[in-house]
Amino acid sequence: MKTISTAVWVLVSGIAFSALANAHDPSEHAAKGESPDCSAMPDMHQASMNASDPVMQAMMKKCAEAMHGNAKDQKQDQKHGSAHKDDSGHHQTSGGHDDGDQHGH
Amino acid sequence: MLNIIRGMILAGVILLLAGFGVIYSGVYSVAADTPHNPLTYWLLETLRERSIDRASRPLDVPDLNSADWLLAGGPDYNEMCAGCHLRPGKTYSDMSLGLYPVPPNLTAGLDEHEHADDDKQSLARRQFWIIKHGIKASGMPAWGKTHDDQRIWAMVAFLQRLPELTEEQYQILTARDKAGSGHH
Ligand code: HEC
Repeated sequence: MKTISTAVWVLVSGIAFSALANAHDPSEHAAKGESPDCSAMPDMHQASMNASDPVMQAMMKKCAEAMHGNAKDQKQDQKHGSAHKDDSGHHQTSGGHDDGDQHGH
Repeated sequence: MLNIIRGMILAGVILLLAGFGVIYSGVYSVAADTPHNPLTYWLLETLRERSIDRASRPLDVPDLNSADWLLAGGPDYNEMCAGCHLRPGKTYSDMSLGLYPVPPNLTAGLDEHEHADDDKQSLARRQFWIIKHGIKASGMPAWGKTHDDQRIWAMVAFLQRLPELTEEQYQILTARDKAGSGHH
């Protein structure tokens, strides 16, 4: 048992060296300050989602904030818009921010 | 009787020497791209499961079924965990392929059998404990050194729903608004 537990500890610390170097690699961290892409919300409403479900409530909360946010938020929305598929062009226009961002409501 | 005891002691000594022989000879590979042999795997897995089970049993699980927990846990998960544990629409990453033990894909549902409330509670306890304390000699860090219990429970709440989320739902829930906006 001693052998085995010694072996376990040696192996375990050996693996630690190989794994922990990876653990701190920041390359996979997502960019911060992303805006929620709420354009898909209307479809989800129709899908069999239940308004009392916390996931649905959380999304509605998030998207209500994003859509009724201030002009600064909407600018960020535009900047990130190109990264998301299915933006249907309304993010590119420099004028009507309001129209574009209320689209998903 | 005496012979049996002697035999057992001798066997123990031989095993001990053989064990040290294996260790010092360097034949056992610690490379992360070489899987453990079944015996070592069993030892480590059993050690881990028994230890987590024992340590996490006394924890009290808060009621995690609310939108606010999800909104708190989502962005944290996306920024700190998705690189290893993946997100909807992603089936691998450098970390998920390179680490050993392999970080489990937390977007895949667990065993799909019944979700008895008791199971759900013990799973939540287990996840909380693992996130807070990490797991030795794996890539799983102890997040409790830098995050309070509330934030960790929020991630547990998010993990409970993560397997059902579509890519679009995940994006909405995990988007981190710039500081200041979005907190009413
Ligand atoms: C560097 C990669 C890495 C990161 C980042 C990471 N983990 Fe892990 N995690 C792992 C590995 C590897 C394991 C498996 C450890 C083992 O099996 O011994 C694991 C295990 C887990 C488990 C246990 C899963 C199970 O059912 O056995 C949970 C829960 C978990 N991680 C949650 C998280 C959360 C939440 C975060 C973000 C706060 C996170 N992890 C960040 C690598 C990582």
